[in-house]
Formats: sequence, C-alpha cells, structure tokens
Amino acid sequence: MITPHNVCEKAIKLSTADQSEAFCIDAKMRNIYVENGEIKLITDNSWLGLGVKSIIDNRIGYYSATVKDEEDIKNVVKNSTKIAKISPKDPKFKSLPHPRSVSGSVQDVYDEELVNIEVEEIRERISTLINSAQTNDVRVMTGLLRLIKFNFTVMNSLGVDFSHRGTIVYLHFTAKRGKGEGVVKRFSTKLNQIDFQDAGEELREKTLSASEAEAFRGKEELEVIVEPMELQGLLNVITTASNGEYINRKMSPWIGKLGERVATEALTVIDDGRISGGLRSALADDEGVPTTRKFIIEKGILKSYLFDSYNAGIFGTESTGNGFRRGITSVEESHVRPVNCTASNVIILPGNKSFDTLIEEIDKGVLIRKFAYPQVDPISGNFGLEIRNAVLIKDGSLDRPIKHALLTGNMYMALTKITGIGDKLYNVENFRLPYMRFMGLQLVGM
Amino acid sequence: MDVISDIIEYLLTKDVDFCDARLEERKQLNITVVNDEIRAISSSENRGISIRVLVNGAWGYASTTKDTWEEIKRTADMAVKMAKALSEGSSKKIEIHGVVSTEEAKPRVLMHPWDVSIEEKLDTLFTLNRIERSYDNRIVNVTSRYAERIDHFELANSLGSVLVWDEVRTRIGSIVVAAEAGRMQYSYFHKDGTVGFELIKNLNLEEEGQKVAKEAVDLLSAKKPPAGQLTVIADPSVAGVLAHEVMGHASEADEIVKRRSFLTDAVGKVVGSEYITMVDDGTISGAHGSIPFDSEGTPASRTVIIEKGVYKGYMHSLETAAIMDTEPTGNGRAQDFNRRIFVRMTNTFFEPGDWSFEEIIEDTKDGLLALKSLGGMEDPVGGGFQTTVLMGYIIRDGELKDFVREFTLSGKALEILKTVDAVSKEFELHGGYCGKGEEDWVPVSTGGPYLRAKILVGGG
Repeated sequence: MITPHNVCEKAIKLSTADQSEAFCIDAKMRNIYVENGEIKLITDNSWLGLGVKSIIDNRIGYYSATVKDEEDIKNVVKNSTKIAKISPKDPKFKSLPHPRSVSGSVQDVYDEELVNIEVEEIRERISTLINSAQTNDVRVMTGLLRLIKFNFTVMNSLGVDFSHRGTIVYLHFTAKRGKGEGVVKRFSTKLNQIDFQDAGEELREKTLSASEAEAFRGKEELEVIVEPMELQGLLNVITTASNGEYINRKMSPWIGKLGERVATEALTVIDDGRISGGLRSALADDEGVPTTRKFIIEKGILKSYLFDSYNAGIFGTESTGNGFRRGITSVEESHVRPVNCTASNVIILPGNKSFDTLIEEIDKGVLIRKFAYPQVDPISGNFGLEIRNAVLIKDGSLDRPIKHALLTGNMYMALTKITGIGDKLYNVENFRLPYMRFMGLQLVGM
Repeated sequence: MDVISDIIEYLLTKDVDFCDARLEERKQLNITVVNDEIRAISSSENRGISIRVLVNGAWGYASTTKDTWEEIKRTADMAVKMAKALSEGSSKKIEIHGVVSTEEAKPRVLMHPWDVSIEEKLDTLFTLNRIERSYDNRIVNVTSRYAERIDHFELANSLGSVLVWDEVRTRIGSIVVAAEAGRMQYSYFHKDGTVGFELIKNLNLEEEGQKVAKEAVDLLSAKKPPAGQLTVIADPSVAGVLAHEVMGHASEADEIVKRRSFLTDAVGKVVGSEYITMVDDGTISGAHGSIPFDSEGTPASRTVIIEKGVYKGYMHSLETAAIMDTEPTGNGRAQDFNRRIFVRMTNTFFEPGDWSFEEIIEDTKDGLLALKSLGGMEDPVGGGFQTTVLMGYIIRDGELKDFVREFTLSGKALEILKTVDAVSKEFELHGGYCGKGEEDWVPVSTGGPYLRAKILVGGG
C-alpha cells in the first residue's frame, strides 16, 4: 500500500543529493455546491502527491508530481536531482532543518465524524442552513461546504521524520434580496463545531441589512468598527510585515523595528502553531520543524519575526516553525509548492469591550460588515476599499445601513490608532480575532 | 484515450442522462530570481481523471490521480452514486446538447518551452534582475519570475465527442521595490500568453526592466492624487477590470439562470454609451485565456456581450445553454481535475475605438490618467466597480502634469459605462488567473483600449 510515509522513505533512500527532503500528502476532498437554494452537485476527489527538494553543492532543485506507483517516486527524485544539478549555487542556503525533538500534543485537528459522514447527513445540515436563511424574498444563491481529510509526511536526509493527519471544514454561502447580497463563512477542523442554524440566521440578517443599504454621500473622517470577517484581510499586513521572507527581501516596513512600538498598547498578536482546533495546528510545520507559540506584537511592541528554515538561515537565526505548504481552506497542490514562510494560526488577544460598548462609546462612526475584498498593499499599507455593506453609528447607536462608499487609509498607521478591541474572538481562516475599532480612516461616498 | 472512452461506455450502462470524462496532465516550471540570486526552481507534473455524471438535473463529480481500471471504475461509480443520491425524488431533466466532434488540436507555438534550456531561462531572469537593480541605488529589491505551464487534455462524452488537445502558456514578470528615507514604493510588469518562449525572445528586456524600475523610483516622489468624481482616462488594465470583474462575471449564464446577476433580463437594453462594445473571445491567437476547447469539449468562440452600448447576451456552459435553450459558447471551464466545471470567461475586453491616446489626453481639460490596476473583485449582484491603481498623472489643459501615487477608482459599472465618451485605438490584453467565489482559478486575459469616463477617485 502506498502511504505518505513509505513514499517519503523511498524517495529519501533513492536520492543521491547532498541533502534531500520529501513531502508527501494523501488527501480526500468532498465539495458540496448549492445553487439557488438547492444542492447542485457533489464532488469527490482524492490524490496523492510528492514533492522532493534536492541540494547538491548548494544548488537546489524541487520537483513534484502526483504519485501512483514506485516509478513515479523514482521520476520525482530523478527530476529533482536533475534540476539541482543545473541550478546556480544559492549562497544563502545554509541547510535543511536538523531533527529537533517534537513533543507535546495538539487537540481537535482531526474529525472522525467528517471522514465517515453520509450524503444524507450532509444534505440535512445544509437544509438547516438554507431554511434558516431563506424567507419569502431572501434566496440562497450559492453555497459551498468543503470537507477535507489529509495526512502528510515530511522527511529529510538529516533525520527529520514527521507525520500529521488533519481535517478541514470550510463553508461559504451567499444570499440575495433585491440588489443586496449577504455572505457567511465558517472555518473549522470539525464538522460539529459548525452551527448550520446560526450560519443561516447570520446569512439572512446580513442579506436583509445589505438590501436595505443606501448609497453614502459625502466624505467624513470617523471612527470605524470592522467585523472580524473583514478585519482578517486588513490585519494580514501584520503577518506579511513580520514575515522573514519580506524582512530578508527588504519589502517590510518593520525591518529593524524589533522592540519598537508598531501598534497601540491594546494590541497583542500571537502566532501559535499548536492552538486547539487551529487550521494549521500540528506538532511541526511542513518542514518538520516543531511549531511554537510566540508574540508577534505584545502590547503594541514588535516582538518577533516569523521564519521558515531558509529565511532563518539568511537572517542568522533558527526557524520558528513557520514553513508551510498547506493552504487554509484547501490542501490541494500542497506537494507542488516549495515551503513558504508564513503564519501558522494567528490570535489577536481580546480586549475588554463588548460589541455594544464598542458602538456606544462613539458619537459618529461606521460599522463595516462587508468590503468588496479586504485587501491592503502589504508594502505601503495603503488601502481604498469599496464598502458593500456597513451601518452608520450615530450617538452611540446603530443608525442606517449604507453601501457604495470607500474606506480609505493606511493600515500600518491604523494599527497605531486602535481605540477599542472586542471581548470575543471569531474564527476567520487561520485567525482568531475580535471586532476592532480604529480612528483616522476616511469614508468617501461614491 | 482508450480508458477515457471506455469509461463513457461503462457509464452509459448506469442509466445516466449525460456523462463525460477528462484526463488532464499538467506540467509546470517556475523559476524565481531575487536580487541576482536564485530563490527557487520548481517543477511539477500532476495527472488526474475527472468523471462527471448528470442524473435528473443533479451532478456527481469524482476524480482520482490513480489510473488502474479498478480505481477509475470506482471513481465513476462514486460520481454516479453522488448524482443519484442528489437526484432522489427529482424528475427534473436537463437535455444537454452541444457540438459533437472528434479532433486532435496541437498548440501553435514557435518555440516550445521544452525546447529551450533551463540555462537560457535562468539567464533571462538574471539579465532582467541586473537591468532593474542597476537602474538606481534606491532599488532595494527585485524579484523576477518565469513560469511555463503545459496542459494535455483527453476528453470523451456521452454526446459522442472524443477530443485530445494541448495548451502551452509562458509568463515572465518582475516586481521592483524602491526605498528612500523610510518611504517604500514598488512597480511591476508581466507578460504572458498561450505562446512559447518566443514571448521572451520578442521582449525588449532592457526597455521593460528600465521602465518598471523607473516607475518604482519615481513613485518615491509622486504626489498625492486628487479625490472626488473626476474625468478619468482608464488604461487597458483598468478597462479590463471593469470588463471582466463587473460586466463579465455578471454575464456568466450560471448567474443568470439563478437570477443573481444585475444583468438578468438585460438583453436588448442600453447599458453603456455607443462607444462601448464588449466581447469574450477564447479564440484570440496567443492570448492568455485562449483555449481550443473548454473543459466540456465545446470549441472556444467569440461572444459579443455589449454592442455599441446595447446588451447582447451571455456566456454559456453546456448546462446553462440547455436550461436557457441556446447554444454553448465554450465557457464551461474547470481549474483542474479536482474542481467543478462552471461558466468562466476566456479573454474579456472592450473593443478599441477611433481616438489615439494622444488625442484623448489633448481633448481632456481636467482629469486623471489611471495606470496599472492592482486587480478588482466581482460583484454580479450589485454591479459595483472597484480597483486600486498603482499610479497616474493629473491632466490639465490637455497635457500630462503631476505624477501621482496609488489611488482607488470606484462606482457603479453601468453609470460609468454610460459616461464613456472617448475610446482609444491603442489596445492591450493582460493575462492572469481569474477566481470565482474566491477560488477556482482559470487562465484568462482582460483588457481593452484607453477609456475616458467619469469615475469616483479616492484612497490616495
């Protein structure tokens, strides 16, 4: 039987390179698609992929392929070696990771129920969501429920040998009423942690709010509260600015700022590769380096950068267990990608303000519920984002819903102007984060 | 090819309304050079079979990367099981119809990437890196990338089509970062297409490299852009976002059949000024989104979406064409063998007009030239347009004046299109990958001419 572990063993054994690393993943994925309020199709996919990195005289080659038999393993090793031989030397490469003791445990990263679930049960849960979302004039337009189980092994010629199995549940539904659209997403490692009734109710409420929104006119600087679902995209600048690859490439504004203030004192951000139920949680990263828990920002002070082994070598430090190939909502093509320096699971520590308090404390503001796409330029921090659903705040209360406006500002600046952090955390991709309130941002009518 | 045809024969014994099977082999090479040093050379080959079954209006898909007959049969059975489980109690029928053909299509490339040594590909990137880094000592980082992707497809379906084809794509690009006194700016360029290494042979690396490096350096001292409702001359990259993200996604017929699109029932209506003609065309030689056949085996075609401001029609897959009782347009596409097929664009653009670029500038008293879009996001429900551009020029009295940095353009697409009053002869297509619903990436291109319109500017 072909397993990721025996595929890696064979690949490392076959390799004649100075150093070699094999990553093999066996995955099954089921996607359930909903269109117009009905389950439209179910896909059932399975794959086994191998990626081999070969180092010969500091020349690095990487080759990957889907694998069905021993010939495919030989082919991957042979081609990886061939690429290494013709590559120029990489003077910055120090070494593949040496084995380190991997101890401890991670909880809630594998769901037995998900692996065995029948179509009928899936149908029931999705019906619960649809029924709680739909009213006479709110229609569920699109939906995706993705269930993935995977197991992978990463092994290298220096003795690293790490295996991990996990599950991923990703839910993404949209609904429409008039010209308003609501979106709901859920991220988890376990199916039972997803409340389909709650997701449906949230979808209905967001759709109704979006459909009642009116175009915003004018231009105002006001306090802005951002929902966790949209905030995650904005706070991605923290994980890029602290990313060892961005630091080494001189593309981060936080170069040389360790120990300096980069945010208001209320902000603490942790990268934790072992948090219970984290989408990237495992005892080691995808290079087999033990994962860690570290402060990126502690009380507004920049405390650490994130490193995979390659970038740690350039920076003259140790990997922090932040070398990943797996995505967040899918593990497709994990074997195709060489390791990428990136965050594991990101936790923004909660503040002490309830959602109501965040609103009550401001005279004039806006609650952002949906951007077109929450993307910030990671180099400059600038953004100008189209608001598709927001609610104005007047005298400490929610006022009228708005759309057709831009929220503009600079995210690195905004981190120094946080005026409130919510007391509850929400799962959004690999982040756990609260509502957050900023000043110094501008709302411009379209 | 035999196994693909065999599986169709096997599925036809299973009481299904329609079925198809597609074998896909994808071979890729990616090279990244950072600051005159190699960062990564990686290559991959992925192979899988996707099987699709339609029963009483419900679809079952299954795929596998293993190619024994037993495994393929198991995969086919799984697709049937899924479709039948979903269709239980349903009497809905979708009568799939389409072009039936038996054909083998070879890509028309002059220099197949496999015939070019890896040393030559590396040398190109090192040369580009050197040109960009040596432009100015304020350049702090240069990342150059080369990518090639060769796809091989074999497809058979229950209509009787048996097809074999290859697609070749080549891409090169750079990101250049400049820094000075705590300020940091960047610029980028990329070129791509369904072409071979001739893409790079025909490129003036010196010119492209110096241009992008100059932009990054000049942006360090660029001024803050103005804001408000302005006369904007949108470059082809911005025009492409408007065509693809807003008008294009809303013209995909799967959004029409469920009445999600703001363009539902729009055929025959005026949606733009007379200068606006918009097309999706998967047959353009060399364009990044071109395909001989879509993932369902329908030949690519040219679909006129807007003609002189009047809305004409939608892009279709086999399924949406059956539901709307029309012909498929070759827009049923899948990211890969693991993913579903649904309506996707190919090359989507506004047609060029009669003005020269210089004439549009000279004719503009006060305005803003918007250059280099950083992308956008679909909005088939609301028809909202948003893109951030890297840079631009203030136009005063018919001349380009101050160079300005990053700003955002937004508005309602239909309102913007109705204000278009000048369209250039100059025309460009820019390649890339399009996601729908934030995933399912397929190669496309977008673009058009320079368009002059009233657009809201903010975010500078």
